Amino acid sequence: MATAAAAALRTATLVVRRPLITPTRTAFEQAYYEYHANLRASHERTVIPDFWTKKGAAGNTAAIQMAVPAERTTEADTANDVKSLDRKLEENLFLVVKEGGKWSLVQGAVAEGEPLHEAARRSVLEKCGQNLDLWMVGRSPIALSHTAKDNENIFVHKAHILAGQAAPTKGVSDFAWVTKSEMAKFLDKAAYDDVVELL
Amino acid sequence: MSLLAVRPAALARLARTPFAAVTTNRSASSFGNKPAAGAAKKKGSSNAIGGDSRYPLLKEYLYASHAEVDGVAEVDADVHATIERAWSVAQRDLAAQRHADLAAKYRRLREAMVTLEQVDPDRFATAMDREGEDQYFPRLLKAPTETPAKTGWDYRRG
Repeated sequence: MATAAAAALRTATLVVRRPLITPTRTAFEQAYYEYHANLRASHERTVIPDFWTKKGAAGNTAAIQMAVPAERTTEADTANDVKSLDRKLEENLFLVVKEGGKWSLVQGAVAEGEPLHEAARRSVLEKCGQNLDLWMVGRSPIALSHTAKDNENIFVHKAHILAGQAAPTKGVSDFAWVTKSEMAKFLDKAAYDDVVELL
Repeated sequence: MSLLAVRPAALARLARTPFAAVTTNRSASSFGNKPAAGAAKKKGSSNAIGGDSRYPLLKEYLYASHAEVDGVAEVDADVHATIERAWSVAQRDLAAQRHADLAAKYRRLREAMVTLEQVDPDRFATAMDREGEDQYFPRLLKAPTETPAKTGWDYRRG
């Protein structure tokens, strides 16, 4: 930790797109739920439709068209488009940006008198465009970066993206939305070890 | 006789045997045919009461045996106990992993706040403030569903 007198304040923001679909059941979970479904079925009274409905009152059930839901794996999954927010719907996707040839979380400086969480939000919008519906998770930082230089303190904030997309500007050459397991391919070892327990 | 009445002795017996299918000794056809002492068979068959054809359906619905449905066999108590224990072990492992993840996140959070308090007391006070219109959950933060929206992610200007 840098001393109070000399330290400069910087922010880093961990922007996450939360899962949009429920996690896939493991084989054991699926088997367990099926076992209990069968157990319930064997102890329940079967429904006798004629008891509840007069003959002919149900109508033409064959004419009802059930809605077809969307697929859980999308085109972005098959193409493995790391810029897409429709990829890996059951996992968290984190924003990493390429600044000066190096991949990292979105970083920025803190202005005079500016609260940390506002600086974090502002730096994301400046560097990744205004087309981001961000929600900052509270006001407190979630971590202090262990890879910061001696004369600076980098506070990490967490934000959710609710809509929109990143459009790199101002020194940012590239971006990607990656899962926790893919993060190691983008960040260098020191940066990854610093961030992995926050994901 | 009330249809909801269950003798206490019968209830206790059922509670002690959770793995056996609940059965009754009465079948639809035998209900109402138990000869009471000295009573003659009532006028009219058990197929109708006052011409109501739902009576046999009612008897079937309430009293028919449900010992085996579609060939589902009754499960052995040991097998059931093993399955439940395996599930508990799996859940315990998941809970332990979740706890470890949360503990690590809390340690980093605490480190950050302790440092901030020493480095910048004003910003620390702002960070600790629990009030403010920015501190509500957004409407668009929805719970995950089994299948995604057909419209996909809202890229807005995209």
